[in-house]
Amino acid sequence: MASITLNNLSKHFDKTQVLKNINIEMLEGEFVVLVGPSGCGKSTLLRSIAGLEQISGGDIFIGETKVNELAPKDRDISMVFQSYALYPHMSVERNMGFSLEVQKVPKAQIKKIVSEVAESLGLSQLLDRKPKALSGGQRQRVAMGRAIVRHPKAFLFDEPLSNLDAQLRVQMRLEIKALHQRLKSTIVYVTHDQVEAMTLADRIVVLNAGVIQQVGPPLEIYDRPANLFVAGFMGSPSMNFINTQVIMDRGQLCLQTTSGDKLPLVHQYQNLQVGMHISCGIRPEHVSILDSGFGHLQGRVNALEPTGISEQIYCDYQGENLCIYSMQRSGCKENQAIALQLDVHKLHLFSEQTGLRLQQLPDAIAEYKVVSGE
Amino acid sequence: MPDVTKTDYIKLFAHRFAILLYLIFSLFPLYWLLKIAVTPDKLLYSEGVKMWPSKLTWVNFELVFTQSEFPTFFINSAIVSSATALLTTLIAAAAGYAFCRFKFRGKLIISALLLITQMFPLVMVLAPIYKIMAPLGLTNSLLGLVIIYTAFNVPFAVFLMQSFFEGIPRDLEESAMVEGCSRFTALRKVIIPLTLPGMAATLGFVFTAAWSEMLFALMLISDSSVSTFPVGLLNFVSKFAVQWGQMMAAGVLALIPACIFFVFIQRYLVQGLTAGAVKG
Ligand SMILES: Nc1ncnc2c1ncn2[C@@H]1O[C@H](COP(=O)(O)OP(=O)(O)OP(=O)(O)O)[C@@H](O)[C@H]1O
Ligand SMILES: [Mg+2]
Repeated sequence: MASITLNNLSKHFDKTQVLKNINIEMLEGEFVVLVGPSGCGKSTLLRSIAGLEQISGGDIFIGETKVNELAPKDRDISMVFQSYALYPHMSVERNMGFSLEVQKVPKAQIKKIVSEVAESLGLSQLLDRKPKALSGGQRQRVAMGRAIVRHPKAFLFDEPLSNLDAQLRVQMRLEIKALHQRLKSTIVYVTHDQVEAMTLADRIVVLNAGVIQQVGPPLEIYDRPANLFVAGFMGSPSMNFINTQVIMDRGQLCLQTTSGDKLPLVHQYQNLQVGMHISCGIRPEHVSILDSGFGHLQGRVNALEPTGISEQIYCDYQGENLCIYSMQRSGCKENQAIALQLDVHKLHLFSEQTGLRLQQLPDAIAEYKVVSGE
Repeated sequence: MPDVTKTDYIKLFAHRFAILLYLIFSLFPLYWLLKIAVTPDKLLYSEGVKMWPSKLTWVNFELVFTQSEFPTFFINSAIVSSATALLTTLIAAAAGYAFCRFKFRGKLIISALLLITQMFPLVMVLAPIYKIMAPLGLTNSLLGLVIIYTAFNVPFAVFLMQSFFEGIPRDLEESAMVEGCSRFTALRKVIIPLTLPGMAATLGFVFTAAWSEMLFALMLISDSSVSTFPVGLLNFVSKFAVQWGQMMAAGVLALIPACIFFVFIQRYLVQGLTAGAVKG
């Protein structure tokens, strides 16, 4: 096990810059998940760590060693590819033992290690098969087994579950989590599945267009997204944004929407000034539908998505689509006018100019009181 | 639904029938070759258009083996063809791999040049090649033939091999490299085993091309001790008569190595065609 440190890492292909000044310190034994939209450079970052891409600037350290110039084979890292990359001409057993075979470990010992790992992954029955005679989930497991037969300094996973169906994905997710707890290994894991990221990570790194947007524990990223991008990207259904302006209304700071509705600000925020244009974020689970009264905003139902356990209601508010996530069945109909209540303690304020979050000041959190509406 | 199965049968039948027609069309000359080879000379003209002679004879084969220089031609051809096939496949595999996996300066120009070599009619280059080969002492020598055949087969073989390498996902060798292989070990342990079908196909293709080549052989070789088999066949054409029977018998014998070769590589060929389809 070892830590991985990236110092000012950058990478460009010809003229296109794919990674810009990446700085992360991944601790020994930490499970770091990289998320970001397609094409943002996640795979490139992973491949740079593995040594499969030559970096254009900066340094990579694995443990204490600078590995910039080290060949992939000398970095002592295991990688699980999205395609699994199993060798089609080798049996499962040889696939799993390949790294040991290359290191010239005695045959008997390879056999022993492989059978232990196969046992732990439930692959013992399949050792003689060729990869093409395996199901997707089994292939995935072989790929994982192949990575863990030797004890590398770190594991790199590039969307290892994206080819599996939903159910299998849940199962493999749990297995990967268990694996991490058992091996206590450093893992860098790329995914664009929200749930995978939230459940597996010790820390999440959000990447967009080759730039790190935020690094932090999953709940911190969810609760305090650093900017508009992270706020919109993390969470499913994703956060609602309403264009507002800060006004002073009867001695209290409020956000006024373009159509004139007011949202009281119950907390104090850094750098907040009257007149500022604010993109006000509110998560769908913090919006509720009122049976009577006016609420904060009035919308019209566009679409309903009942999932059984919950319901997502999309409604139109000043031309924007607002999503409401509710564990109750609202009984709303399409085109019905509804009154919406926002949990004003859970507002996220982002400067429209910079896109950055306005940090909530701690002192204001002391007094919770229910404001207006009900 | 009986209607559907009926049309299915008709389709199947039509399909098979078309294949059969094609086979008859393409194999008929070979059949004729064999027929004439076993027809006694006396009957050749009297029963020329019969599908099968009234009497069979092996005498043509006997004569070919005992009276002609055919065994020498045969051995020469075998040497030249196998050497060409091996050399070409080696070069093509190396070049194909480089084209497929590496970026290097002049890559585009080199592939363009390779393509251009394929555009000239051979007749155009005959004379210059003779001019080059003669002072080097490479006329009248099997080595000369091997060199020329290799040179002419390499471009196409390179493209062939390149496409086979491209059929192998990059992930595989990258995975091998992460698992502790150098690029060369990854090539040896992962890529080459997977390209064997492609190499077999290339080998077979070049072998048959060299085996039946005649133009260069005719021009560069005058001494019958180093003649290859296609040139040797012309020996059966004398000033006064064509020894059809013996010529055809020699032809039949010449088919044998090609057949053996294809039986041998056939399973690789089938594999080679499907291997690319199943990724990872
Ligand atoms: N060999 C290459 N040459 C040029 N550009 C490349 C190359 N490889 C990747 N890129 C570009 O780099 C960017 C990042 O690619 P990368 O594969 O890292 O994205 P990703 O975040 O893994 O996306 P996905 O989630 O779709 O896998 C993309 O815009 C891609 O077009
Ligand atoms: Mg990727």
